[in-house]
Amino acid sequence: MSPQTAMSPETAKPQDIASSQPPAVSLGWQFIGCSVRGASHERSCLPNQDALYWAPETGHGPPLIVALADGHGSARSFRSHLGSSLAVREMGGVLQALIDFLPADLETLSVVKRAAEARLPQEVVRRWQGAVESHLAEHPFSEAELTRLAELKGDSAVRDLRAHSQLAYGTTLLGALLTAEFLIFLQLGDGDILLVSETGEVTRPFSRDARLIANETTSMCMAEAWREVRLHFRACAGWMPALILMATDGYANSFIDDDAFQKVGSDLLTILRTDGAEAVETNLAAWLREASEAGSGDDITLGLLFRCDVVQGQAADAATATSEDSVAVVEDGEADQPVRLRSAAAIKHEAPREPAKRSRLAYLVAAKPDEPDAVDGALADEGHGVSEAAGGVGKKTDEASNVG
Amino acid sequence: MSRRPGGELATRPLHFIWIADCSGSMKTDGKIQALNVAIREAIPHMQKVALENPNAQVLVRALKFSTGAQWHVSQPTPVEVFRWEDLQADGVTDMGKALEMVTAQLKIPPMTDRALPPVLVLISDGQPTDSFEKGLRALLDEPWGKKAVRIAIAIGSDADYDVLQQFIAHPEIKPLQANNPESLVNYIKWVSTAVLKSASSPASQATGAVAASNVPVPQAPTAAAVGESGPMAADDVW
Repeated sequence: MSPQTAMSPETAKPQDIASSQPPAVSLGWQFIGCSVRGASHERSCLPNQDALYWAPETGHGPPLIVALADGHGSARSFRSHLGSSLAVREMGGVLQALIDFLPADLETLSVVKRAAEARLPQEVVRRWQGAVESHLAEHPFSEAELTRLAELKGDSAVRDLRAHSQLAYGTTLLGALLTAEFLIFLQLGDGDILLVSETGEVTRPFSRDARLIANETTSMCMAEAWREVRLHFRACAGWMPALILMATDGYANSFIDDDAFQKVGSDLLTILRTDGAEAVETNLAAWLREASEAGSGDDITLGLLFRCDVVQGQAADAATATSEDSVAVVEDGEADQPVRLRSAAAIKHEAPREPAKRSRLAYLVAAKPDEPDAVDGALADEGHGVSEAAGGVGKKTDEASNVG
Repeated sequence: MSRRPGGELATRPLHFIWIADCSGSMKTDGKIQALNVAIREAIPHMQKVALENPNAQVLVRALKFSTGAQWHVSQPTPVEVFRWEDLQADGVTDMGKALEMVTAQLKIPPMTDRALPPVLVLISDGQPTDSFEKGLRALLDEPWGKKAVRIAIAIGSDADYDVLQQFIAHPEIKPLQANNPESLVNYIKWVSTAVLKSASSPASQATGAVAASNVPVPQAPTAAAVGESGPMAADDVW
């Protein structure tokens, strides 16, 4: 099967592990990511409205979770930098919960795929909405915020906001879960996910959404936003990308065309091979700043997941490594400098965490879309609240940001 | 330092298109001369605004319509080097044809999906003599036509205000009424500066979340501010 065929989201089907080619279980993966404030935001003194999350904090797996979000930044979405942070945190929590309740004896990935498709879009949107409501309860809109909105957009905008307060937190969201057995990608709104093969071929798990032009995007703040969440599931058995690239739209918009943007994927693979992961870590923030300054001017967040065996000098380390089970957290005080993950050579990682009982997954599958609390109940019974599993929000950025 | 990954970087194109009525009636009372002066005087202001946002590449074109329609400046021209050649007036008012020609340029390609919302400025002193509705329907059926910032300036009291309002297709944005050269200059300047600035750095927003335009169109100057003295004022010449 050619990579292009294999990556078609509609045709990809989970495969029985027992009957397939040897899965890529033994392959170690590493995460590197960075978020930079856009050149135009620097000029206008606006914050970086993107957010980035990854787990575990070491950036080594599998399993690995990555989420990134792009707050809208419009006058109506004046808390979108918070909305994006909440979104990546909740995405991380939901994906972590899925890992936590995977059965030990996965005989078929069809069960996981069905569970993911049935539950993840609703779960992540529902939890984000809950997080927004909690934030609002603690931090109601101030008179200053409403006055400013009225000045910029008129009284009707204030009325719109009172009727639909989540508008203030509007954001896009991308998520990825990488385990030894399968990959899941989720996308709501603009942004890009690229898959790069070992030969440098670049494909997308999701086709471009033709509706998303002129800075309009589907959003977490839309009514029934979960219907707009796109999900791609694929088994690791058989073809696996060498590199996965996830980016907010400020990156693609900085290139003259899509070919120029997709070249980032093949170029990064070459750099990883020839110069190593540390070279990418060292230069990533500068590359993204250059792109924003010479391109879109927008905030840019980039998350990279790559197989350690494609990086020079790291294959041996990957085979024997162990990991720490935590999520990445960047505090405001650290935000002045781009935060770098430790190099693969300095970090060890382990096999995927011990999975939970199969019955938990069965419960996940059984839960109906209109009974979202069923999953929570199951998780709570086991003493594994999803929000606890997430543990915190990671925002790897070179700019000040926080979650209220 | 390793080389930067990826191909050529580029700022986002912002297409700004003047759509000018050059029908015979524009010859009367110096309307066409006033329009030429107004656009020519606006160019330095456009260039200044463009300089303030180096992440947008402002590309200017002009389309004229009278008997038929024709590109006056056919190539998307960087605003830094844009020069205005005077329009001449003659013929009827084939506004629908003009909208069809604009629509053809808003398809993808030649447009790209990474562009900023284009700005279309329709200036007219009369009523369409062809199928305006057909041209407008084509424009609004095209994604970039629908997402474009559409501004209309009515020159004189004979302009078809309703047609211009249909072109704008936004309940909160009204045609600008210019009844003398001074107000035309000021409206053209406003479009060339405030609207251009807003279009060149729009923030993302949720699709369909609000009824408003995807680009926040700034408040238009009041009639008094641009030199209008009210209905049937003594200094109204159009």
